Amino acid sequence: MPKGNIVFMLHAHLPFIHHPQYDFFLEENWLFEAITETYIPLLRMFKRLEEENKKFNLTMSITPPLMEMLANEDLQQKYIKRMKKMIELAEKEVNRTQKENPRKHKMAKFYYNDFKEILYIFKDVYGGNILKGFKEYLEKGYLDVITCNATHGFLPFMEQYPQAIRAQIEQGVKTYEKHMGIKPRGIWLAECAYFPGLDKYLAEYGLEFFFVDSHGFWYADERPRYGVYRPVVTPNNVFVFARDPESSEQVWNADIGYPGDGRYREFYRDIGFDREFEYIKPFIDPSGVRTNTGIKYHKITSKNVPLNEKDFYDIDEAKEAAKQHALDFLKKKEAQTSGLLNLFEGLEPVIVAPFDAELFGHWWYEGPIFLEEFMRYSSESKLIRTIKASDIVDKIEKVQIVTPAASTWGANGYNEVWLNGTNDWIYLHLHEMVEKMTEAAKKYPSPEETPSKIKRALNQMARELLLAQSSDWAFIMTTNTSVEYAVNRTKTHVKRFLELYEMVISGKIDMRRLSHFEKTDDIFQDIDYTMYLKV
Amino acid sequence: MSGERNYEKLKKWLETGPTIQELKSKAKDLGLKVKRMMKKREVVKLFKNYIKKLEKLEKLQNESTASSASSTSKLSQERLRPSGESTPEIPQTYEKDKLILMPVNPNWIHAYWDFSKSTREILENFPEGTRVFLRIYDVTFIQFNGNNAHRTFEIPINLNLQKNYYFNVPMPNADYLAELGYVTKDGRFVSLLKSNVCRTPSNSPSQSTRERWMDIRKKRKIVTPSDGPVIREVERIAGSVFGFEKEISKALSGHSLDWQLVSIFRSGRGI
Repeated sequence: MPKGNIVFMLHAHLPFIHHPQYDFFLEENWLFEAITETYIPLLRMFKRLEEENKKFNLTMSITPPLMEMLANEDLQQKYIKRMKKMIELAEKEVNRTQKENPRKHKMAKFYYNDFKEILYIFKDVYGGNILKGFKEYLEKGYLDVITCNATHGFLPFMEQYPQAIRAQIEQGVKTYEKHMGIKPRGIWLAECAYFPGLDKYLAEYGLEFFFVDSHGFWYADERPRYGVYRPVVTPNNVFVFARDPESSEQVWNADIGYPGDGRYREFYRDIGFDREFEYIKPFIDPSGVRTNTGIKYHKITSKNVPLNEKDFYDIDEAKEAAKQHALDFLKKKEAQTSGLLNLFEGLEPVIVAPFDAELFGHWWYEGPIFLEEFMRYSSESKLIRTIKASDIVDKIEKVQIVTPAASTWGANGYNEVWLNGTNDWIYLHLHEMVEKMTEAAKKYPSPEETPSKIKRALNQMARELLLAQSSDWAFIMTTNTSVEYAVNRTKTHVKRFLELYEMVISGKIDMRRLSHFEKTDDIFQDIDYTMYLKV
Repeated sequence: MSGERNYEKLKKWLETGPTIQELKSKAKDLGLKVKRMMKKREVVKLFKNYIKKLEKLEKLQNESTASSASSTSKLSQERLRPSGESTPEIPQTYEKDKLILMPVNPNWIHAYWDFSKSTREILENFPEGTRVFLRIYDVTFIQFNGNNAHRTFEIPINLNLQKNYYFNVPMPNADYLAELGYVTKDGRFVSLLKSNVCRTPSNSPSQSTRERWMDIRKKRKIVTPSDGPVIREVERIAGSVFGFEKEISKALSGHSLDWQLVSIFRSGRGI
């Protein structure tokens, strides 16, 4: 019997943040929080489902900067140090909460055991590199890991520079291969940003499929007969999947979305802010600025309750809620499938539900439980099945040829999140850097004949350029949070790039400066500047 | 910026005795409810109340005991940079002639420009009162030769004040090209810089009446007339490009969850 195909697509991404010269750096915690709350919970979910013999299928993009951070030994050591601290704090909380509300005490014990288990998985099971875990489930066939363009650069704003687009894709493919051991079949385009013509570059690098937002299909050059519910292929032979607007709405919507349920954990009540300063001081930023610890005792309760009046959280109650929501989501997908099967006269619909991976666990603490329960329910459903995007590509027999419309998954569906009054100043620099990079690479077209000092400087220029292109900086400027860091990062990479450019052009390499940059911006050890010759 | 620096700055600014217009415009920026008929005294009061609120918030944060977790934990997450890291200075110009168009959305295009030394010299030696314009050409499906555009639009530019410009264009899914130049005494437009061609994104379903299909097993292409899609989409109508600040302040006021902020701006497509 025909079924509905559900492609769950999780986009795991964080910008490359590594400050080796500091023991503690606030923004490095973004990675640590995501490991504790999203990435390891996902791995635990895979293991549990596997042990239960439950079929599950998930597509995940793990972006090159995230792979590079997860494989970075210094960051791994910092994470272990941080987790040991958190375990120490959780232990103190277990003692302290004995005299407080019993629900707090229950959660303190939960966090203590959970943190210990997470550190065990990180350190002992995967030896510090959890990419091994994702690779394991990729090899077992449950998981499809795809790549992303090198530093999550916003490709539509590189349209006039083919070499910049190629470098983003080439490095994205290369980094994936380095960590996963095979070639990537699919790609998640940063910010789901596509423009007609981009598929040509993807085809050059052997990429077989990518994703666009719904309106990429709605406003395509020819109308897809089955709307967003069947993939299409571009004239350059690359498959495209489009996002199902209903699935996004059901999860994301601020008012009716699942994560807003009162039983779920409240993100903004963290003991990093709630406990008295002297007590919490050793566990927050050494400068004394309070930070999240991941120990949170309150639930959302209701959206209308102010933060200081939130009720206590209970993990079992929350798990129950996640289970109910998973069942609700299943019912919705089944109903949607029945409707589509009718319209399509039996042809199987493909429902694509892409999300930021960090939504599951980091923002929505119970998200991984929801996902796990959904996989459990759907493995027994008679109407739907979960499936990986690559399986669809392998199975499909007839496909419509369409060029999708320029689109992104940003607010209003186009480019304004990454181009507005808060961030437009960056593009003069980003474009100029591509031109200077190309100019410098042209001076040394064959790397074998290039003096090693010059080669190193050229490669570091490419790193600085790629890091500056990360769409996260423009995004952060728009959202008006951590702006200072994003501005600083952009300007720092521009400045370092220009300094290196002067060195290469003059032929006088300041080795002390160069080594400093290599150590500080230590991404993509295997980078090759000659990719900028591919104009 | 920390909350503290904000209200201290605001206090000082109030003491400098700004005009009613300045007060009202600032109030709007801050999202304060300023009415058209308000007197200066009333607007000042609005500011004073706002400052009081910020002071109170900060006090709450400083106490930060178990009971005082305030809804603005976000603000206190900001902190000083580790010492020795100041924001680096980067160039304002690369001394190259450049006019770049970038699509913002189906109806807006962003243009920025930069000048070589020689062009800058020309500009600096213009006789007083020379007017500089940005010309936008609709060049959809044509090889532009300088005067065959479907439509031509013109915007006066003040090069002393502007380094970039956002302009509204009538057609989605169309090609635009720009020139930056000046108008001579006898009324001729002289182009100094020419831009790349920029295509605005489409925002409506295609009018095409065919479908192309690929039979993968037989490796065969099939072209058929289209009966239109089997399923009718419910399109989402985009909000205004100017709505961002309002959205941010709404999201940040008291009850925001970061994932809501992400959902508004990124992966949630403004949901």
